[in-house]
Amino acid sequence: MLPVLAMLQQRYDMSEARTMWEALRAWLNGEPLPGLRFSPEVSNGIMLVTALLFIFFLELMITIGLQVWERRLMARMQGRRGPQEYGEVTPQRYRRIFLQVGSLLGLPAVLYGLQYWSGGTADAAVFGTWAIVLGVLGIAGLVSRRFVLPALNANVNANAGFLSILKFKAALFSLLAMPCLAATGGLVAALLLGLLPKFSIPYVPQLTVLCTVLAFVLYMTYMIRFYWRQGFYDTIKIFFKEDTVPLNADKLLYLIAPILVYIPALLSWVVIPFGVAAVDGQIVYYMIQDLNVGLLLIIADFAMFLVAVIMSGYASNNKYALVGAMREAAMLLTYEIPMLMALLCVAIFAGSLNLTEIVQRQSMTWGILPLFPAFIIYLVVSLAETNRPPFDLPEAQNELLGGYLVEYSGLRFALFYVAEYSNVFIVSAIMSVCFLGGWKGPMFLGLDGLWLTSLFWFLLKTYAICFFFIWARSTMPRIRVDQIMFFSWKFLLPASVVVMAATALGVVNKHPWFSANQLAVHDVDVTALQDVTQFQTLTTAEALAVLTVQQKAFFWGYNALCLFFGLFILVMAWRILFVKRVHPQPRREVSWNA
Amino acid sequence: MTRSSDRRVEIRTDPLLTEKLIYSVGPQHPSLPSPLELRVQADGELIERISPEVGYMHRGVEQLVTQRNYAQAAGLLSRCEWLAGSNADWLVADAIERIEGIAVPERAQWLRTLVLELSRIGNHLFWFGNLGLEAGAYTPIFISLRERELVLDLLEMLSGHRHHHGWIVPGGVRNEPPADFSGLLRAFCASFALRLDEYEDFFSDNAIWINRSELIGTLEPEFAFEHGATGPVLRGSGIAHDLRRDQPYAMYGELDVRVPTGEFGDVLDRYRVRFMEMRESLRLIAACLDNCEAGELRNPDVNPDYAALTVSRGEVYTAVESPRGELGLTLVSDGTNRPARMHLRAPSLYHLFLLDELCRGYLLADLFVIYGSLDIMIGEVDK
Repeated sequence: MLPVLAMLQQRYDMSEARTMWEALRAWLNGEPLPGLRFSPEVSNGIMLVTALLFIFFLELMITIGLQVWERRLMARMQGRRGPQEYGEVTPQRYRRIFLQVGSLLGLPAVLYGLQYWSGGTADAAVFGTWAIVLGVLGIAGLVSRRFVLPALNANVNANAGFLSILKFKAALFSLLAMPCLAATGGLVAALLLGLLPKFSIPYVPQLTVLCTVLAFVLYMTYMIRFYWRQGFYDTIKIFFKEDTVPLNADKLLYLIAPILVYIPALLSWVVIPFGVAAVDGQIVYYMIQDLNVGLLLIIADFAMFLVAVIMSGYASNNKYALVGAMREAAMLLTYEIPMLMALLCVAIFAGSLNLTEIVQRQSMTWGILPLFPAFIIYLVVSLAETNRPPFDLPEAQNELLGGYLVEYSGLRFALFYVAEYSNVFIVSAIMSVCFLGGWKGPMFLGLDGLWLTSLFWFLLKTYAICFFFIWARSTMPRIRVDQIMFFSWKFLLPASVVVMAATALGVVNKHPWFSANQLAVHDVDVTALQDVTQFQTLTTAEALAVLTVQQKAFFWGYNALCLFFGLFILVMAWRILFVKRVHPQPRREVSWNA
Repeated sequence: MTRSSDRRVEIRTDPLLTEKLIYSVGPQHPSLPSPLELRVQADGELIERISPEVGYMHRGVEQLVTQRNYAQAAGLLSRCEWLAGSNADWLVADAIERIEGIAVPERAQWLRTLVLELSRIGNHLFWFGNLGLEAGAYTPIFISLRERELVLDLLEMLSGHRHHHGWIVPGGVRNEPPADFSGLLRAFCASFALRLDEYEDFFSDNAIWINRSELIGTLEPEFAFEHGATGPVLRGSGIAHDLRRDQPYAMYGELDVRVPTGEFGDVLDRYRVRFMEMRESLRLIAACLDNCEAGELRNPDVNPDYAALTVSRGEVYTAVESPRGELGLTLVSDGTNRPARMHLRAPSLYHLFLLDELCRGYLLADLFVIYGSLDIMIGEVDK
């Protein structure tokens, strides 16, 4: 094969990489601070407690936030005010907080720009990214101010529903238009003229951190004050509710079932990589433990969930709970196989079950491109996996009164719900890690701000998937249990087998369509790090230029598969957006004589 | 002795003994907005038999009305069917008019027709949202109640009440509509036609909904007729029977009422029939507004004090095509200002006892969709 392909197969050496907990442990045991040294046993205990507390509070914050966000978003989609919107939230107030947060985040950007103009320490990539981001934002704002916003204002239907969200965003973007365009103009002019004197500003990275933290605190204060308050009150309230046990329940199983639901949901957070930072020439991942079997752990956690749900349904001594549990069992057994197949595609593609390695494999191209069919399958299956509508059969509120949840109250009920929302976030995180490139994206804050930008991209992708979950909930009726079975056994399972076989074939044959990404990390400017080899990188398009006939045949065969799923989505979108449907009208009928 | 050791466990001698599950759905159940108990005997999730247990909401309305005057009786009867309360007002007024031979001015007749059609739209909107909930969709209830709110606002403008209007009185209607009423009603009709398209875009063409409703709960036309089904349930089974066209009352004789029918008698057909009825109601309302010329609102010969109105001795049956079907009233009067006997023929009662036949052989999840498609109101059933 060509030397390009040989190069493509080389792996990035990640022996220097650590999770933040390992870095912290090294710091606790380490040399630089002799006064603060702990013994390994003590420090391991401290690490364990710290890690557990950390994931507990992180999970609590994110699940509460997710619930509150879901309520607000569904209220907007359904054209009502919603329980979370208090009277105090005015456009003026929103504008004020937006400008405050925006200016705090913009200050470091301006400083980086000044440094670049003056030939200081900031690099060209950072500057260029800033110019592009600001320019795109400015143009988007201009378009929304000139065209989108007037059109939406004129549209009667935009007062409620999905269009109203668009209207809201368009108003925000049009606010941004002029400042962004002015900044872009200034950047480009300065770049062209090179008129500014050379100087270097001290403490820019530190200032970046300070500004970001300030902006975060400001924004969170605002959010908690006006939106999250009810969520926190609900959480506190549910701690004080009575914990009831039905008279003829199987008491032991009934009491431990919520804990068994909650623990896997908590465990899965251990292996999710939230982001990456470069500290002293080392790569540090934001995760508790960088397990080699991370993906397997998460799949196993979902299987645990099933056992606990059956346990709770059986132990409640309630017909509805039992039926809910049986539905859950049937549904999860049906859907775990396509889910495994879809995730196996990822594992084959990445050559690893390690989530950080899966992310690093997607440096040049996100997994969604080569693994598009698997992505679609997983997107459907994940809805069923987390019991979200339209697959919320086990807890169908208006058929089974909550199914296996029906007898639970108080904290045990809350554990089920926290676990459910936690699962939603985990599934979204898995999707963004496996298919959307995890934390990968334009790193516009450079090496110093890597910790922030990686987190930003990861959370952006994850919440985009969460948005899909909420959207599906507010749109779809519930599927019947036998229809779910038929859909999975007759369509998803064969499709996932075909997709997995195709992926395996492609990877084994070292087809560039699947292996173009096995290269160095793209988001880190690796020349700045020590002892890290940098490889030449190729995009998927470039790698595709060097194909044999057999590989081309495979390429088009696989693309036909992608095309099937892609066309499916395109046709659906076309039908939804553009096809004017004719609705049945009353017609004249002959008189009936009896 | 602790509490847990006290409990009795039934000992089964046959280890392979299996029982039929009997679900007790209701009287408190999120899918049943009013109290009703359905004893569902099922093999797992497969329904074998349903016996509805009614009476949880029995208020003895038919006895109560005999101790009250006609105005109060009309109010009580409209509490039996609160989603379209004007139908009961119309029934009482029409029964009195028939016994006494009172003529109703033409303008009042047009206005009555308009109000009946407007409450039909209001009722069907509530039914649509409720059916969405039964099928597990959370949004229809919000978008349909958004428009139902406008309907209620219009009716409130007209009569001062949102649900039990009491606007239709013997000899005519109670008061002149406000000056801006017809303009607002026309605006509502224009926007509501678009909203109906929005509902259908959103829900009717949804593949999951089609799967949930197509050929589910099929009702044979003969069976429907024999068991007294009327209204959209009968029309969904393909029988074009509508009192507005077949026994025209109020001003329906002047209007060309088109009667939509279904083909298979399944949930989807009943759903489509109701949507077409809403479109038809919009057309009828526009026609009423066009024909509603200046004139008398009320027959001056009738005693304007409804509470003191005495009705001479007589017996009459009158029926109205309510949103649920044929709502009939038998009135026996004895010459005082109180009815001697009143009986309400409630369509929901007949439809409720179709449930056993409709659900047999379907899954538990289908029960709620079928129940929603029948549009049963327990206030009518229990009275």
